[in-house]
Amino acid sequence: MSAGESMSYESKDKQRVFNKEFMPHIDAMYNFAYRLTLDEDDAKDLVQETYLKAFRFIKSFEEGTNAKAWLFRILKNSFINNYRKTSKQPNKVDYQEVESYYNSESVDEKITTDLRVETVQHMIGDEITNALNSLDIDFRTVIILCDLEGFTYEEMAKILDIPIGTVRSRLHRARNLLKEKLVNYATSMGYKDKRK
Amino acid sequence: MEVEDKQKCFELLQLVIDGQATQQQTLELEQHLSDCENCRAEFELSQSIKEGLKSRLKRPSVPSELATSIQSKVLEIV
Ligand SMILES: [Zn+2]
Repeated sequence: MSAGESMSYESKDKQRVFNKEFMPHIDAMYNFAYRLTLDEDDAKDLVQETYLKAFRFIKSFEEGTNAKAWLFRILKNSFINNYRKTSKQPNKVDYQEVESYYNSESVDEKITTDLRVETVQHMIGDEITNALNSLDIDFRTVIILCDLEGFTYEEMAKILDIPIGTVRSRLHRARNLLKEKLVNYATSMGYKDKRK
Repeated sequence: MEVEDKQKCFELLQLVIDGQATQQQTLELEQHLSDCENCRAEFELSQSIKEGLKSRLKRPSVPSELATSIQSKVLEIV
């Protein structure tokens, strides 16, 4: 079917918005989908499903507002609906633990002294990728959104449907867990902390 | 360091590292870092991890047919 005369003005307009506002984010969308599913085919399906949903609900998108955040939110919700139930995530996030992170000092102190900037700088992409992928999905997600995609806390709160305070505490916890993983990698790779 | 101060440090570090601090908050952190070695180490480490994530994580390449496949499916809905 070609974009012929049978198409109403409205659908032409929908397609214009779709191509102009949504399609440019396909790289970021695929990247996000891949980091969530860790599978190329699942990522492809998820992105496709998200775009089709986005087209169906295009009227609820306000032109000129943040299309990327809007799309990411749909993708995240689709992921939860489709994959989360069936995925094998051994440890669920303990939100109590997340919310009370400010009161727990012990973890933070220890990690810093065990990992050096130089060590991190010597790590290659694979090591960082593995560390990130081994995080529980909720923690992985906030790091992807913040550090890889550069969303603000406010945008993340909208994408994830959680308060900004929770975004920030989850991010903090996620980073500490990532540091822990990197420490383990550093140790197994034989990096030595010279300060010891 | 008191728990309350520590909490403030975490918050400031995070805001500055994520580029979401006000000028006042950035200044406040800079002042604190100049006389707190722990927080300075934490700050530098966190920054280098964020940098590593951004620059060294391989981005998977999008399957070439994905965009066209999406666009033709959209035309079917229309
Ligand atoms: Zn300090």
